[in-house]
Amino acid sequence: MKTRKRNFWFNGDKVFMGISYVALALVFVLTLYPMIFVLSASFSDPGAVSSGEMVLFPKEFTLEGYRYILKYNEIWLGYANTIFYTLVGTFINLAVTLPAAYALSRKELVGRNLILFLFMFTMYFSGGLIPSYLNANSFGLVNTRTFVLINGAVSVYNLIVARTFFSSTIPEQLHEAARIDGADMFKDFFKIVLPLSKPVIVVLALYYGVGHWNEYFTSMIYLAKRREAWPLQLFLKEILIQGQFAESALMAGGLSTEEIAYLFKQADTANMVKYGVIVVSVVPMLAIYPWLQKYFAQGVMLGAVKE
Amino acid sequence: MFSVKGTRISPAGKRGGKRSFRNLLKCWQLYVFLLPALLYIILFVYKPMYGILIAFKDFRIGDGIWGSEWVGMENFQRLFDSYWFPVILKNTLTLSLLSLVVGFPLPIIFALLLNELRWKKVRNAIQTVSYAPHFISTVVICSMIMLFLSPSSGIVNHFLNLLGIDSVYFMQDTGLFKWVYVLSGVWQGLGWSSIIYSAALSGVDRNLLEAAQIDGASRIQRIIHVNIPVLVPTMMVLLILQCGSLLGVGYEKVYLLQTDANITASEVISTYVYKMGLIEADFSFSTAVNLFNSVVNSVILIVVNFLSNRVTKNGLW
Amino acid sequence: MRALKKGNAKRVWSLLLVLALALSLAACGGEKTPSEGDGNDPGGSEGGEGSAYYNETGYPICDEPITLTMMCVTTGNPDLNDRIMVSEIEKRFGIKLDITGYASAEEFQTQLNLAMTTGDLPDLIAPCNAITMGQMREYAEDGYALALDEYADLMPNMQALMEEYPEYEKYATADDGHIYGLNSIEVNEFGRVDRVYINNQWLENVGMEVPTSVDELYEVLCAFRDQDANGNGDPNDEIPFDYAASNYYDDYMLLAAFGLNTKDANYILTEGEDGTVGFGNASENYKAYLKYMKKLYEEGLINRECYVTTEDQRNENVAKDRTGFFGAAAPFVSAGQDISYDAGFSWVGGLTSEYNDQRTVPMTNTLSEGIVMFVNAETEYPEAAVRFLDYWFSEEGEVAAQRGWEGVTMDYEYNEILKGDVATLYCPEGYESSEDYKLNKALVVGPFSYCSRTYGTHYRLLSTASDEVMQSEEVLDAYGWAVLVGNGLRQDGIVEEEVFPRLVYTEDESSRRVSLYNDLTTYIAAQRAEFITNPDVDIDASWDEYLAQLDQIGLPELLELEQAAYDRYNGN
Repeated sequence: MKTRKRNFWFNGDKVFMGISYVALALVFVLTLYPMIFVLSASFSDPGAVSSGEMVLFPKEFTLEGYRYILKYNEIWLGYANTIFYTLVGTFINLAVTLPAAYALSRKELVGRNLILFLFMFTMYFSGGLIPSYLNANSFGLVNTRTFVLINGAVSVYNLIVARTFFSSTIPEQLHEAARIDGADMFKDFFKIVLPLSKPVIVVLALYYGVGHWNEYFTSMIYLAKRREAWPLQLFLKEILIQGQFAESALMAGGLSTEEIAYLFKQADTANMVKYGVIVVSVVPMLAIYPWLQKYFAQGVMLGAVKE
Repeated sequence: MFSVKGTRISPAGKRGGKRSFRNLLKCWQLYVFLLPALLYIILFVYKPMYGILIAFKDFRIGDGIWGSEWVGMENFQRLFDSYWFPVILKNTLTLSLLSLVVGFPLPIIFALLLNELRWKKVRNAIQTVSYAPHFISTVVICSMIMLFLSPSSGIVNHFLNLLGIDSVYFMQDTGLFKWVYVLSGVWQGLGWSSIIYSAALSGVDRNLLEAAQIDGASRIQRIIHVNIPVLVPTMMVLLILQCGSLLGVGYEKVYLLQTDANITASEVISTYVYKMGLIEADFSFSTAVNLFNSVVNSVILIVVNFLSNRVTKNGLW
Repeated sequence: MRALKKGNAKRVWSLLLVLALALSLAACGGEKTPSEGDGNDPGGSEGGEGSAYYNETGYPICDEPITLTMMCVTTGNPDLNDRIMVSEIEKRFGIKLDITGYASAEEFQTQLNLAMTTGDLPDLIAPCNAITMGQMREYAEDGYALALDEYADLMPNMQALMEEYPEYEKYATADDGHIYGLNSIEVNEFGRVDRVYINNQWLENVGMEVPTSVDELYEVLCAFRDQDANGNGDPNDEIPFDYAASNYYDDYMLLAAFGLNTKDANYILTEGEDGTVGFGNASENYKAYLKYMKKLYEEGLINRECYVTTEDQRNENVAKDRTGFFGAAAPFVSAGQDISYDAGFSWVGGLTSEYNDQRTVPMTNTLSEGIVMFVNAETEYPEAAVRFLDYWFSEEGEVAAQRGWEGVTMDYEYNEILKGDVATLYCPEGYESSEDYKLNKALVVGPFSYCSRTYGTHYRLLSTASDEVMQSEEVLDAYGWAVLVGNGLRQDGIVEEEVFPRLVYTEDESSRRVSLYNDLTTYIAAQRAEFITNPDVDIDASWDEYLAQLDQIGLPELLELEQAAYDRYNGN
């Protein structure tokens, strides 16, 4: 009886795993394709890309796009700035968000719902561009790197994710035990909660970090006159805009046909650059991910702690 | 800072006076934790919050926000009176509800399946690859969608032709637009959205899994009875938050996928406002529309949170 | 934080310094004049302190350089202060420009609004069409813009232009009677005509002529479709008409064939006999146009992907010789070839139909819709600023705005064929073309182009050249599309007609119009696509429903508003 049952389940497992392998393989192929496409397109003649002739591998191979990007000296400046904003900014984000999330996860917090409301309200309501700019201006933060670093110091979405994680994965007994051992809240947070929350910390770091990495709007508005402080994305955007200009110039008039011809040639390059730019900005993100992954796989030895 | 010893918890905390004193001390520490975040939102979000008034004024830069003339609900009326308002409201809801129904469960399933994969290298490879499309900018994603779906040269239609199906004019079809939008969104966001679930799955109690295995539970049973319960709190919170952004369909992707031929299905609130701004920027109008979105979204959030608390005992508060 | 405070302090100090300098220089300017010389009136400098920093006539405008700050939208690298033009301006006018360039109109608008709220508005603001007349009116009322007409005495070149082209003054003058922003005016006919081309080789291959009516066009397109028009051996790879379907040259040309002259296919205003404003998109002519387009679409004469096709793809179709009939700036631009490539094409325009028996070519409005430049009302140096702007209205200034100065960025070269001088930009080593040099090193393109009267260009020579010269191969190879257009316009029976004039709206009209216009044009565009591409829709059957919808969206109100503006326009 028992063996038969086992066998049956064993087969069920097999079917299940079979289906899941197929599904995962499908996801793998479907998500790999755009990446290969982008990579190949960055090495291909833009005409071949836009006409759909380039399907998988580079067509009419060219390095023109990368040459164009690398000719743009400010790319490296942008890289340096972006790395700075990402590292320092993410650190600030975590330093602000994690303690707040911990506090909100504790039932002892008097006025917890009110504070939560204060935070959640900001998810939906804000003063808009002009008052925010005036506000930053009043602190003397316009055209400073500081503003880019602290802007969005706490994302309420991330705050809630972290709070949920804290309250749902760390059992109350653990806090209790710590308390009995004489730990205060600080100790509880630093010695118990943080070490047990590596996965969510990594996720938050990733969310924030990627946010900083891709950020351009704040810098565009608040660093308009500090070109040397621009992040990578702003320079990349500038390269791309030159490509889009031909079309709008054509519609608006004002430029001679010869200039439009020149701009179209640039647009051609920009089309190639468009893909190269993604490669340039995505590679670092892809490189760090496997390293972050191990924190998910490790798991938390909650069971062991409980015993 | 960490040497504060006053918070040492007395085991004899049952007595009333001491208890409230203890709570206060605890709270004091928790407030220290909250201080940076609170300071930030007060100084940088609440302080300029008066900008919302723009929605009720005829804002003129020269007069400033306080000095501009009050116009009551006029700016809102402009949205509601528009011929397109019912259309864009419907399109917005269609896109976001479909995104929710299709886009919400898939990352969870993906994370669960991935979790069952025993070869670590394969699992890591799939995870890394699936997360990559998230980094492709919207502009490029949209031009790729257009290329792939092109009736004459796109890979999707080539594939359909191979199966003996005639080319489909995806981008000129009002009925297909929502699918293009939602499925491309899933395609781009699947891996990225599953990260949080993968992280949560690392919290699964291994002993429990082993015990279940010894009891003869199948994989599906283990997933249902051990893994999913671990995900439920995160799931519910994300679901509630996503419901709270139903009117928040962003303009960029929709705008880039819009054509004259699909516009009756693709015009959404944000693109409508964006285009209006292209003709002539009007802060009052765009602020009013944002405010309308926010109010509706937050009402939905409150309702969904209430229901979730009732049904699953999980909620934001 | 500290860095900025420092920066601010620095700025304040430098401002004070400049101020002090300006004042002291104004005071001691008289002593210096003997050595520096010409054009300065020592008495004037010595006398009133306020007016002494500038000269009322002649150049330089300021003997001791002043700094004018400026923000603008620009092409190319937005770092503009190292352009040759900027140093040349300082040399010629005694005005040092400090320019902040923004790469897109949206970015510019945002920064402009922020600068206004924080009081950081520069002296010169060059939106280069990024703001509308309505916005200009609002900024002016809020006191941000200098009324230029009050300095008319200092702007003789602008006065002269307005005398020659009264429509400029008419459009630029706000309803309070002042001129705040400068528009641009283009009177060059080559730039005002819709550019639609047909491939000569294709025509030859199917044995047909350049079409002059919609029926002929239909025949030609059918031949393109049915035969191997591009001669590559495959009779099925031709796209007879690569329609852009996005409010473009080809649409305007075809609408004109049905008697609708416009440059906005989704909002066609027409002028009735008694001065009433009519709406072209609700007319029988428009219905006939739709039916014609539907026929082309259903019979496979139009690119079936017209509503998704991108500029890149359309260019690629020209480059790969897959299409024979299309709208574009020029064939060589689309194909990415040398300008002589244009010789293989003919211009198509002035088609007739049963709704229009005249070969009408609609001419784009001479005036730019938006504002190119305005001056900060609070500027320290209003007189110098207006004199500076006035320079660009002169003949030399017009050429300088486009090509710079002789011996600096260009030379006048005698053109043997056209028998005249053409201002020809340099192309120094390290630049791939003179356009590259112009856009990235030589000039600040945009902010100073207020008029385009073809001074110093080959257009001027082309428009007066003899037919014989215009037919010569040399000219065609050298000037490509412009010769095609020029020859096209010289055909018998071609009538150039102005499109509906640009109107000036009051503030109230303007804000109401934005909503209605957006709602209406979105509907019309969507409906046009539906009429043309949906085989199940019968235009005749749905026409009344369509008209009813237009009314429901608010067409009557909109027309009333246009009528009021039009009456004012005519009344002036």
